[in-house]
Amino acid sequence: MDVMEKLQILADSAKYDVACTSSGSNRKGVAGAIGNSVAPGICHTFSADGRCISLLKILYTNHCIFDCKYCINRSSNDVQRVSFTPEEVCRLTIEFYRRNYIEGLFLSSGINHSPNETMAEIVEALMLLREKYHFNGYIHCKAIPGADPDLVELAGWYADRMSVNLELPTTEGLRTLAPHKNRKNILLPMRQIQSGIEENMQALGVNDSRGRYWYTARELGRKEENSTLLLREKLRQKIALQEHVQENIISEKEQNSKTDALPAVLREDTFHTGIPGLHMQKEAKWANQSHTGRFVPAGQSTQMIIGATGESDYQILAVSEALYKKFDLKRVFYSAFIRVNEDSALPVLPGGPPLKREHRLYQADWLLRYYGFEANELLSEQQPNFNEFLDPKCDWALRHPEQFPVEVNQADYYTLLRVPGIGVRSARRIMQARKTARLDFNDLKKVGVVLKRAIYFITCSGSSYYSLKLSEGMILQNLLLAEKPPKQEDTCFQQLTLFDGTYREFLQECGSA
Amino acid sequence: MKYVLQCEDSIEGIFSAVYAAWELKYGHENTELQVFGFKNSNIELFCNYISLDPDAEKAQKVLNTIRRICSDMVYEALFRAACSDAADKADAIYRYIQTALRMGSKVRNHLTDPAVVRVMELSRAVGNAEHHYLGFLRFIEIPGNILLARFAPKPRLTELIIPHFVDRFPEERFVIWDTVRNEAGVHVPGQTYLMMKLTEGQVAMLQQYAEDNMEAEQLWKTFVENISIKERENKKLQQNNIPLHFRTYMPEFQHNGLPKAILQKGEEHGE
Repeated sequence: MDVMEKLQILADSAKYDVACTSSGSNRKGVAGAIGNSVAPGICHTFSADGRCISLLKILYTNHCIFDCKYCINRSSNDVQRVSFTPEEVCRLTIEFYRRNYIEGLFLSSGINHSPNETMAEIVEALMLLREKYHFNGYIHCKAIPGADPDLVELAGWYADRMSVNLELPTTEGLRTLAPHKNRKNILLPMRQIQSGIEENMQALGVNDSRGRYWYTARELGRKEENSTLLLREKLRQKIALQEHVQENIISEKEQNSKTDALPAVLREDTFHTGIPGLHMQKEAKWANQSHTGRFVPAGQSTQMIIGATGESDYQILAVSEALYKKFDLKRVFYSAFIRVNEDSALPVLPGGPPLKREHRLYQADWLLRYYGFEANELLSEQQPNFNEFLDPKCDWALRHPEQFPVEVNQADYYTLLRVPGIGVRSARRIMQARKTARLDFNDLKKVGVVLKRAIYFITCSGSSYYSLKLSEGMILQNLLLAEKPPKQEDTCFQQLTLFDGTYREFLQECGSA
Repeated sequence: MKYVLQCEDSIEGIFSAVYAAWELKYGHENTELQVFGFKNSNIELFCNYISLDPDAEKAQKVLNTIRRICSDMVYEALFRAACSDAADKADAIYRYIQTALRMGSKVRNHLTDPAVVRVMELSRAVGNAEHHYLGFLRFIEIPGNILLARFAPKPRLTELIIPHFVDRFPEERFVIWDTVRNEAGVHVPGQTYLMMKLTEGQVAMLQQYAEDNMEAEQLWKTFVENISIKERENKKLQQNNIPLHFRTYMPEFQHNGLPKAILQKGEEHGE
């Protein structure tokens, strides 16, 4: 079978993986090698579904021993099965990269024979790419749940980003739809990668604001029990201890194998024992030749399928928040469920994939990471799902009239960020522009504030845009009128008509509340 | 009396005109800068038109002053704005420099000044196009193992994007060719890049290479087709993300091109 056919099959099976980002790594080019990497990431093209293509996203193989009900490659499906060879993966990557088609490689895989065998094949491909082909660009690879920690670690020295898919937000969901996977096997490599990153950063004295979540949390003076800050402190103590007592290392390593069964708690002992930096000298020659070796420098990510099981948005967001806090993930991706298999355990979604819901979750995800919101501010047990018509921030603002109006010329950065219509960039520009002049509504427009949303929530030098007394219902009506009504082809929701009651009822409900 | 200083559309042209505006002492409120070659610039009555030749030395003096009094950030913003394709760029830069010399590096914060906002907008637009082309630029391999990229950017971008590719492909020989302005950036391994204005003969020579001599292009098209999820198809979103004018030289958007004899030729120039 030629490479063209393999590519066709293995790209097609990789398309359900959401992440195609090439962000988080800044690496200069090196003489004798090919490639560099820039922190914001670069999109190279966009596919017909509007998603960014930044990496050569392929499966190594679509052979799979697992039978996850939602997956096109499950073992019970009768599909053509193929595998790349490591050489083929490398040649494709290099030829695409030279022509500036891609930013790097995203290698995922079905589970062929055993997790270990699959992980070993991924590592082999990465090693070849880095050491023989001297590829210095971006690599994202999967850590296969259940694979040996040593293999996962080795992959981490070659990859920029690693990810372990959480697949479904809850353990019950996983049990029904992915019977061969379990939460423990997914969280273990995640924890291992997290510790590896921490140790590596510590060893090199790097302190970049990688995990945006803790960065925002620290700015707000919020400290979590399991936050990275605390983790760091523990790590520092641990390293200090190690330096004194070298002999302890061996006995500690023995203990590790015993405590491996504790997933969701902070397991200090998964930190690789030994002198920090030892691994780099041993394994990561490709990076060491030129500069310092970094372990998974672009951090790790994960993804969840939305709408395959019955979780509420609140549950999903709470899981994401926990992952950001406890596992220091860089990103959580959400993937609207697409019914590719006929199976009685899978829901039938007549409106197609829940894209609108996915969109709202992404909006909320940004609010968690960059805006300093917490999951229980946005949603609660009483209101477990996001509003279809309003974005999460507008929705929050309407429920919290006591926080508004915000005085643009005085409020601090994080207060500004909470105003609908003000984002990270415009908030920064407001902070900047305030240094030289007082701002009025016209100036705000110039710096990029979306006034059609913001005017109800701000004052400029004490004066509000409207001299009327604003009520929640009135603001809501205006906000909704300012937005284009959702179209049939854009969303999975019904076209609104004059005689459709839901929209009006919804308005009235909010107006009277 | 109003004086309009007309200058060439280039970094030297614009910044030497700024120098001239101070030198000629007509008063800032009476002076306006204009770039040649923009069609919609009407000629005004009661107005003196003075055309200026670019002067590298004067331009350098202005740029040095900006770097000294303000900061590299201000310098970069002005440089990008000067690469823009907007008709009012020269005057915006001129007004910006007036404020900049008064305020120093703080001028970037002064977002209530119209000229400062305008230069910020221009430099942001150029910066965005620059970032887009880092991804959307496509190389084809031509005989001799040389990579050739053609692109038709709205602003003048070659010099802004080429450092990225020099860093990325230190071992490749490549040419980035701006087909609108017929200028090119050339890189040879082990050296930095060279900017050149192409002659007609050189353009004709480059024009004969329109397709890649390897099968990579076909593989790439296959990949792009298969990576899309049918259930999520959204051409409008695709077009928002990659507007049509970027697609001219991108193989994945060329659907009715001539069939390509690629496979055999590829063997000769492969590894």
